[in-house]
Amino acid sequence: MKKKVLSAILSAAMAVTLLAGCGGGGSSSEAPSSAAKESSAASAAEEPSAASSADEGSAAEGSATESSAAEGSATEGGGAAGGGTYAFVSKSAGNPFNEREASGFEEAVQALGGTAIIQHPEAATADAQITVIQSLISQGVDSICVAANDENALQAALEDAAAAGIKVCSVDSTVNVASRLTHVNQAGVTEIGQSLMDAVYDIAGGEGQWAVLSATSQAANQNAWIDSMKEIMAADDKYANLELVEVAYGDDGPRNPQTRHRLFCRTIRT
Amino acid sequence: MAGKSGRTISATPEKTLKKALLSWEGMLFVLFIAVNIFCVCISPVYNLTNVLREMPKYLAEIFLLFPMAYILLMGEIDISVGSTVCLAATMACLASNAGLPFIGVILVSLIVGTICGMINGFLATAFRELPTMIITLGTQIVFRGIAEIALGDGGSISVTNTAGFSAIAKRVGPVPYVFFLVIICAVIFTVIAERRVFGRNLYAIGSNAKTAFYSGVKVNRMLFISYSVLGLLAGVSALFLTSATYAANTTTGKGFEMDAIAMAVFGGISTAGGKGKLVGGIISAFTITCLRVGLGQINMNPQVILIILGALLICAVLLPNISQSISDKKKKASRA
Repeated sequence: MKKKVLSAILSAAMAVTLLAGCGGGGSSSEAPSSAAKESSAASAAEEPSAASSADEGSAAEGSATESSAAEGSATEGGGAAGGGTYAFVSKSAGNPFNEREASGFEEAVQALGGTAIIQHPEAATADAQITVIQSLISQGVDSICVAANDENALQAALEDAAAAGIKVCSVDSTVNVASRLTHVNQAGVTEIGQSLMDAVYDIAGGEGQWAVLSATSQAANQNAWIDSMKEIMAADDKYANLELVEVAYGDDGPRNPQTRHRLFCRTIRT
Repeated sequence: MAGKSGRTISATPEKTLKKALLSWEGMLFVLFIAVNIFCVCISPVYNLTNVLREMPKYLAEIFLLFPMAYILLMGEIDISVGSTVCLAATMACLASNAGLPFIGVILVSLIVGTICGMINGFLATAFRELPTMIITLGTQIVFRGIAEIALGDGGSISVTNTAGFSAIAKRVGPVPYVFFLVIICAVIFTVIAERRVFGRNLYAIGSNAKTAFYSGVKVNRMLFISYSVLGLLAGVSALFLTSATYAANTTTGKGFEMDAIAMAVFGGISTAGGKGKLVGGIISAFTITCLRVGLGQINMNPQVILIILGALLICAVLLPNISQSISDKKKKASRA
């Protein structure tokens, strides 16, 4: 559903970009320039959320980072030689990015001859993840890999796991240092910031207003990416003609991004 | 079995083994044993040590069952208690991070919980014409809203000094402290409900609040006390919940109110009031907990577990109604 909406937005943005190209006049005529601005907003909106799916797995799908992150989590979860039982705890059921990670994890563990347990908690909360983790401790799995719903709230449960001799790592969304052995980050923060800025620059044709549509305001990763974009924009004169008008939050809901998108179009036209 | 006057309010009914087994609580106990046997069969790691280790999180919810059962027995409801837990946990974390000694943290949690309960109690008694469902729906939103403001932008506060919280999460052998506290509460609340005037009055209010009022039962006072006690135990629940997570966040305690109500209803306590026993609620709480632990251990999809629990709940609500109508027909037939 979200995929459809976002791909619709993206294709609309592309169509608008084409129109802007056909206009030929560039920024001199009013209609194409506003169209170009709008398209840059739409695609800027698209891209942080595509990248954010690497963290929240909800705003958009189909970005290349996903499969690579899935591979990353898989190799690190399996680790040792085959025969063991390795568990993956996702953020919630129906989280597209986590599901991709989970399937990559499962493939890699099976390739190593181990058994993979994929568990989705009953709700996207740390409490529900604790229940799952406690159950996995009872089962005496060899490792637990978790995409945390809260950086700190899993500490007590994961310490229990470590005390029971279970290797703990986090992926996608981190837990605090006391709770885990390693964390697998899906991509470098500056790299994401740079490629998003490049995309904004290309689509907007070097000048215009643009905006960011992120997931939730608390998401640490998204905020780091947005900050990185701002830094890169400020540091390089190349981006001097780009104006960031708003950072909005879709809160991981399918409805909010649409209203946000409309809001963008309105803000930018005026 | 009513006496000759036909007016006994279940004073001391005859007790036979057969009757005890056929009662709802007796059947629940059989179900409890059956669930345990079932879990042992399906899960190779289902044993006392593991169950007790996995239990504290569920035990924190069982605290809420006791006063919730009282409120349900009076024919009222409280759906704000999950938010109360969230607010109490948030304040406890803030107090702990502010450098208060742990005894102070405990007091903060209990006082915040009690104040929330008293607000509910005040609203429920001052505006008797308003359904408590609506009142507590309002306070549910208000309490969680306050907690979210206190939690700030991140939506999560973690405890920096975990010493106190990890102390209350300790255990004697395999048995966590919280288990003993739940058992003590269970005994106290059951004795009050079954053997004390306060408890008997709960049933009187639940059967007919007006009649109870005109018979001299202080309905408002009892409501206020029950809501306050529920708030107090929400504070206790918040402490033990925080001891499992060292943190409070915007989702802390979400759904607790419904879990507590579900346990009570599954235990045969009617939401219409006046019917059911606390013992049933307690057995059902442990039955549900054991079933969740057992099914979790075979890695059953948590969503499927929820479906199973939901289906069981509907059966639990339906069965007493069906058996009631059958026994009513029998009584009519025997009288005629």
